[in-house]
Amino acid sequence: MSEAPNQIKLTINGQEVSAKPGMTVFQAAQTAGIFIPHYCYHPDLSIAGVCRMCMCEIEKNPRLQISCNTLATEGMVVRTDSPKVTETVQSVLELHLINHPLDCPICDKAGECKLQDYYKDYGLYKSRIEYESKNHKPKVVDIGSIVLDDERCILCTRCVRFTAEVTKTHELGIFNRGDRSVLRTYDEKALRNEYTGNLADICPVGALTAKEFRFKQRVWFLDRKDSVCTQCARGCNVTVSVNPQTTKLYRVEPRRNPDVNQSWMCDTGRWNVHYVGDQTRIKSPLVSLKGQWVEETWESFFKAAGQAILAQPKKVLVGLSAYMTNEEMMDALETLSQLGVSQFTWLLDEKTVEDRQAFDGILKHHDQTPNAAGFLQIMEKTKTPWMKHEEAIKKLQAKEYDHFILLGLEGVTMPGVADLLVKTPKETAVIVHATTQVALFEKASWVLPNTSSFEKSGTVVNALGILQKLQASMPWQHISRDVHALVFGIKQGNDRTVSPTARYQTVFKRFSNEAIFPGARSDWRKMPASGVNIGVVGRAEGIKYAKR
Amino acid sequence: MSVNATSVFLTDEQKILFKYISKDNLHSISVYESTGGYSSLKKAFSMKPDQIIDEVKKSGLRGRGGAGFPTGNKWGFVPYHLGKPIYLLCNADESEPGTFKDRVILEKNPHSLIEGIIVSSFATRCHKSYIYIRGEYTHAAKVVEKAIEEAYAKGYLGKNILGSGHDLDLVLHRGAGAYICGEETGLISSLEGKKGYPKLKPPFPAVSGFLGCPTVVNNVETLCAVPWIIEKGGEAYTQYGRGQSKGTKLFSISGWVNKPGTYEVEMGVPLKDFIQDLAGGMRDGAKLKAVIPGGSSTPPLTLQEVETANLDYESMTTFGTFLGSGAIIVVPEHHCILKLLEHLSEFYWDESCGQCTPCREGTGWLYKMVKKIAHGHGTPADIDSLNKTAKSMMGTTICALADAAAMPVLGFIKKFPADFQAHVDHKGCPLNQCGGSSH
Amino acid sequence: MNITFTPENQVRFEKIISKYETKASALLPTLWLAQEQFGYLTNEAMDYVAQLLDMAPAHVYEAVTFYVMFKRKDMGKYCLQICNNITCSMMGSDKLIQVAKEELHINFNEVTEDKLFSLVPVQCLGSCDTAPVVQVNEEYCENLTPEKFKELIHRLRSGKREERPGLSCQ
Repeated sequence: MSEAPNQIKLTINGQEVSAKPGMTVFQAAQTAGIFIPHYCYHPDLSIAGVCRMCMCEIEKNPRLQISCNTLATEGMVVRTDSPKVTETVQSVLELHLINHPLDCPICDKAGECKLQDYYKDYGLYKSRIEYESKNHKPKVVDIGSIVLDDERCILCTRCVRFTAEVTKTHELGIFNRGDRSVLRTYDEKALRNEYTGNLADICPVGALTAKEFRFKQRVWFLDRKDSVCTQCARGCNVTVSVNPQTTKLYRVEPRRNPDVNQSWMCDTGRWNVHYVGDQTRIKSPLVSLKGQWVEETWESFFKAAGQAILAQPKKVLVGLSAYMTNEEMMDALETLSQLGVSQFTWLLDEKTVEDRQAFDGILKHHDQTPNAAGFLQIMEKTKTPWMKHEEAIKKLQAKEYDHFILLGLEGVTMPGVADLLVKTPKETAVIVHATTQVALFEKASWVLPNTSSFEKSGTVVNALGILQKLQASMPWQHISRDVHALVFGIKQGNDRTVSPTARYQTVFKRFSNEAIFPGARSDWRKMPASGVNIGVVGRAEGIKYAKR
Repeated sequence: MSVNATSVFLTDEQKILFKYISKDNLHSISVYESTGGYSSLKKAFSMKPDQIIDEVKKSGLRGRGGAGFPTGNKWGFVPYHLGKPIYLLCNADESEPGTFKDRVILEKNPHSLIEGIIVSSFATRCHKSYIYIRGEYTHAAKVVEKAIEEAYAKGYLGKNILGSGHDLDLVLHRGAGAYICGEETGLISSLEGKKGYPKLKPPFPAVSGFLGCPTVVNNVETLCAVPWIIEKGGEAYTQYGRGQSKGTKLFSISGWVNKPGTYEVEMGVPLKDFIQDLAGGMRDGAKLKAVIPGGSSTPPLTLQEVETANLDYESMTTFGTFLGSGAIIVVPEHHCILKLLEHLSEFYWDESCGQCTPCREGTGWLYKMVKKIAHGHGTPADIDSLNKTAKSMMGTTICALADAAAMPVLGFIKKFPADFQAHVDHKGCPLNQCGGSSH
Repeated sequence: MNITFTPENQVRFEKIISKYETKASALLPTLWLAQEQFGYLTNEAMDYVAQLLDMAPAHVYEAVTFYVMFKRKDMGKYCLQICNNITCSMMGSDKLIQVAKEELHINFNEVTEDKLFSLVPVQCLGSCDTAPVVQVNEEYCENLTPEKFKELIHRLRSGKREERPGLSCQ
C-alpha cells in the first residue's frame, strides 16, 4: 500500500501512528485511539493548556510536555504511559482534587464526571488533605439557565472560551487570581446567549449544570440514542437520553459533527422539547362535534374521513410538513397519488425557506423546519407538481377543495401554517395531523395525533445539503401514528398499521437506487452517524470562530 | 577580619553600570551626557545590526532578570524578514522579593537604560519599545518618564535618530501590582491589555510575542550593559568574570547586614567577601544562618556553603541553587527559618496567576502546610507531604512560578531539616516568632 | 458619580491611546487614569473604560480584579501599604502591623471610620535595603521603627490634610 504523501509518522507508546501535518500529539494519539486524560482541551475551542493533565514524555526532551500544545513531528517518539508521566498526571490530578468538594452523591455530573473517571483511573483513593483546610466558595450561583458551583469549578476555562470564541458574547470571565479565582458573568447577571446549554456539556466537572436537568435524573438510568435536532434547518447532531422505564425524555445534547454543528446546539433545540411529553400532546384522534372535541378511534377516522377523502381525491389538498422525514414524504406522495390525490403544498414559512442558509452566524437557521431541502429534492426528483402558498390559498378560496389535510406537523410553533389555516374557507374540511393541540386547530374537523421526531426514524436533509439520520429514542406516545401509518390507514380504510421499522428502511433503500438522494447508502445500517453530503444545496458557510 | 578589598572588588573606574552612580543629578540628561552618555550611539549606528548582535554574543552577556539566557542568542532568534513589526520590551517589573537593583538604575541612571534600549532596538530592527515598570515604582516611573521626554527633545528618540535613519518610539508602561508580569509572556499579556497570564510556548515570543509579532524581552540591567559592550567590544566584556559568567553584575543585598544596598561586582567574587566587605558584615555581630542568593525563589545556602560559594552561575549550581536576579538575603541565626518560609510561601500563593492547576492549587497548599508546621500543628508526615507536594509541582506549569514556589520549600527542607523537626517537636516555634502577624 | 473623563483627562486619555498599537493595549494606563479621577473603579467606571477601548467588559473586570493596585472600593485618604515579605519581616514589619492595627483599630483591607486611613498588605516593594518599608499612597517610608511609624500616623492624622503626604520618613 502506498503511503499518503501528506502524512507523518510518529510513535506513541510504542505504537506507530500516522498523523496529518499540523496535528498535535494529542490529536495524533486520539486518531490512533490512544486516550490522553484532559480537562481544558476541547476540539472546537482554542488551546488553553492550563489543566496540565495531558502530559507526555518526548524522547530527548527532559521536560514533560502537554500533548495538546505539542506539534506532532516526523519520527517523534512519545510516551503517555511511562512511570514519569503517570506519576506527574497523578500529582496534577491530586492538585485538581485538593479543593474539590466531596459532593458526588448530590452532583448531577456524577457518572459522567472526568474528575471521577480519572480519579479511578489513577487510583487516588487516599486524600492527603483534611476537609477543614479546603478552600470553600459559593455553591449555588445563578447565572440564568445554568447554575454555577464555584467549589466544583476547576477553572479549565472551556466555558469562558466558549462565550468568547463561539457566541462572542463574552459574559464569562475568570476574576481575581490564584486560588481566589472564580468564574462569573462579569456583571453577575444571567448569561445572554442562545447557546447556554453547551456550557453544562463542556464543563468537565459538575461546576456548570443546567437547571433543566439538575436533580432530575441520574445519568446511569438513561438510554442514549444518536439522532438529529429537528428545530431548524441546521439539523444539529444530537444524543437523546430517555429513561427506558418511564419513556420520559430527559435530555437532548449535541453530538459532535465538525461539518454540521461542531460540538454545539442552541438552547431552543435542546430545551424546547417539552411538548413531547406534556399535557398539550394530542392523545387520540379528535373529531369536532358542535364545537367540542370528542375522542375517537383511528379505526373510525379511517372509516369515516378516509372514505370521504377517497370519494373525491381530486378535491383534496395535502399539505406536507417539512417536519416529515424523507421516507414519510415518499410514502405520502406515492400512496396518496395512487389514490388519485394530486394537489400538494408544503407546510413551512416560505419567507425563511427562500434563503435556507440564512442563520445567526453560529448555528440557528431562520428556517425553523428540519427538512425543507428534502422536500424540494423529493418533489424535483419524483417530478411531483406542487404549489406554493399563494396558489394553494387561491384555490382554497375558490373552494376547489372539499378536504385540506395537513400532514406531519410537530411542536407548537408550526411556522407558515397559521396563514394557510386562517385563509381556508369553512366549506373545506380541515384534517390536521400534529403532535400538539393548539388554538389554531379550532376550525379542523379532525385532529390526529402525530408521533414526534423523538419517536420516529428516517432521514432529513439539512440546509447544508447533508442527509442525516433521525432515530427513534422512545416508542410512539399515546396512540399517535406517524405519516407512514396514516397514509396506509387511509389507503386500507383500517388501522392495521405496518411495522414502522420495516417501512422507513424499505423506503430509504430506494433513495440511492432511484437517484433521489445521490450518494445516499442503500443500506440504512451503513448510513454513517455523521450523515452524507448529497450536495443538494451546496455547502453553506460553516461556523466561523475567532480562535485565540 | 583582615580583608584586601581592592583585590576582589571593582573600583568605580572599573565599573560598567555603576561607574557614575553616585554622581549628583545623574538622572538629568545633561549630567548623563557629561559622563559620556549616549556616546555609544554613534558607534552603534556605524555598525550593522548583525554586527551588534555578534558583539553581544561574543560578550557572553546573559539575561540579568534571573533566567540567565544568553542575550545575543535571544536576539538572534528574531525573524527579521516577516514584514511584521518587531518589539523590544524592557522588563522593569522587578518584583522578586529581595530584588532592588533595577530600581537603582531606573531612579538614578534612567538615561543609561534608554541608551541601552536605543542600541538594542537598532540591533533587533525594532522601532517601538516599551518599558514595563512595576506599578509600585512610582518615583522611578516619574524619573524615567522625564528622561524619555528629555531624550526625545535631544533627538535620541523619535524619527531618524542622530541622522542614522533609525526610528524608535519608546513608551513607559506602568504595571498595576502583579509579580507574574515579570515573566516575559505574562508581561506581554499585560501589555496587550489582559490579565498577566503567561502564554503557552510554543510559540516563543521571539517569533510570536506582543500582538503576535516578533518580540524581545530584556531586563533593565541587561540592556544597560549593551552600550558599554558596543563601545569597548564584546571581547573586553569577557575580561570580567569567568567561565560562563562573564561581565559584571549588580547584586542587591538585604537582611541582617550592616550595609544593605546594591553593588556592582565582577562575576565570580566570593559571596563571603561580598557580605563581609561590601555589605559591612553581619549586623550586631550576629551569626549567619542562611543566605538566599538570588531572590526568594532560589534555594538557600547554609553557613558552610556561604564560605565557599562564588557569585557566578556555575558556583551557585554546584550548591543546588541559582544566581537568579542577584538578590542576596542574609538570614541571621536568630531569625526563624519557618517564619521566613511562611512569608515566602504566602508570597507565591498570593502572586500565582491561577491559570495552571498545579500552581494555583499547589501554592495554596504549600502555604497552608508551611503555616501549619510553623505554627506548631505539624507532624513529621506533614513535612514529607510538604516535600512531596513541592516536588510534584516542579516542571508542570506554563511558566516557572510553580517551580519558584516549590524550589525554596525543597531547599529549606533539605538544608535546614532540624528547624522543621523542631517546630514539630516543640509544637510551636522554638524562637517564638511564628504565628505572629501575617497578612 | 458622573462616569466620564473630565475634559483635561479626555485629552490625557487621547494622548495615552495614541502611544499604543491597539486600544486594548492601553487598558492599564486608562484604568490608572480612571482610578485617579474616580478614586476607585466601580462597575460603571469599568464599563466606561471598556466602551472607550472597544473591549468586552468582562476583560476589563478580569484585569481590574487581577491587578492588586486597582481598587474596587473607596480607600482611606492615606493608604498604608505595609510590606511583610522576607526582608521586611526580618527587620521588624510585624511590629509595624501591630502599631497600625492598634492606632487605627482596623484590620487589613479595612478603612477607618473617618475615612482617613486604609490598611493594605503589599508584597515586596523592592526597597529591602531600607526595610521595613511602608508605602503611603505613592511615597515610600523607609527604615521604619514602631516609634517612627506611630509618629507618622499621628502626623497624618493631625489634620495636615495635604493632598500628598510629602513625607520625610527618615
